[in-house]
Amino acid sequence: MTKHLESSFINLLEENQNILHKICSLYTEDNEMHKDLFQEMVIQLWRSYPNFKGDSKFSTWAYRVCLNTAISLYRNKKKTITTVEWDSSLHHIRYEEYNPEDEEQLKLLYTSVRQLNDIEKALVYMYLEDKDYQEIAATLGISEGNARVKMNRIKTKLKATLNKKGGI
Amino acid sequence: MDGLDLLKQHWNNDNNFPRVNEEEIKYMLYQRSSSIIKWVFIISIMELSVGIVLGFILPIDQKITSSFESFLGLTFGIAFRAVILYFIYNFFKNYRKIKNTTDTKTLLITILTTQQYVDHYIKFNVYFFIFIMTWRGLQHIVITFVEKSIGEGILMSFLVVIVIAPIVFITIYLMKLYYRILYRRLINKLDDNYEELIRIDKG
Repeated sequence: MTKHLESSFINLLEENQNILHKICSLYTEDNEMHKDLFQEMVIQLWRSYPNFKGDSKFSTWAYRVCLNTAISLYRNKKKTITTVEWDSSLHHIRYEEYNPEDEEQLKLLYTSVRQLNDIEKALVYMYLEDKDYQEIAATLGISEGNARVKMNRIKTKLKATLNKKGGI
Repeated sequence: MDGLDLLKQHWNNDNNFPRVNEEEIKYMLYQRSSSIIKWVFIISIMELSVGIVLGFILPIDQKITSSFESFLGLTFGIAFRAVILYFIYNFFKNYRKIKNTTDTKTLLITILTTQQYVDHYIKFNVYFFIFIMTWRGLQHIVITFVEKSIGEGILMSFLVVIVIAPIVFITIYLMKLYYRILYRRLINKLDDNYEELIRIDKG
């Protein structure tokens, strides 16, 4: 790995790090797990970076590798590995701009999404990122029609959970 | 506002994450991965090595009494090693195919197939061991019947069953226990996620 490759990777990752944080926020429950998964994603991205041809945007390439890491590679450990200490507390959701009713719904929504399984979380992530169903299907390796059907089921499931808990 | 629309609106505006600076990213690049693949690979290599070492240490040839037995022993020996080589070759072939840039389903299939070859390798070794034991037991019974009396033959049959049956049961039980302890935690997540993708594609 040349120094040039390393510095271009670090620059791109620094710019696009919210992709990693957002995926971590769906797949992890606490600060330590967030850091573990973030680090594992960085390692996986770095390993594949020499094969990144630049045909697609770095962000598109990166979110696929990161989702694969969260779904297939990340081992949820009781003991955390040694990670770099960054100046952070767990990502807190800012609700200031929302009215109390919406704020309550948002909290319920985030809780409900975190309770979905790994594949459902990936679908929600891509839906929230405005990816079209063709891309969602290609990322997961399923058919476009079935990706759409599953997403509708997740929406219904989330609505039902919210209704049950007194939201919406 | 619909639930997910509200979430989407918040999601798009949410940039309230800790910033990881360039120095911290650089440090992470050279940390050790703790991925499932790494552990599957380490465990698999250990299992393959133990199998190969045991193959050298344990004597599987017994005293040869006829040219037919010699031929049989040679055939078994070649077949056994050919099957072992087939598993090892496929393990490495599939391991090389694991790419975190493929679609999720392909990635899961490749990891699970790679692990399955080690699975087959271990099961093959265990069942081969059981087969050899049973074969030798039967040989003892036949020889006793032919060379000694029927009574001694019946006694030998009982002895062989009493000795071999518990060994077979214990070996299979230990193998299942080993898989439950070592692999279940490691690949449960992969199995669950793969099955979920299959369910989605069934509609």
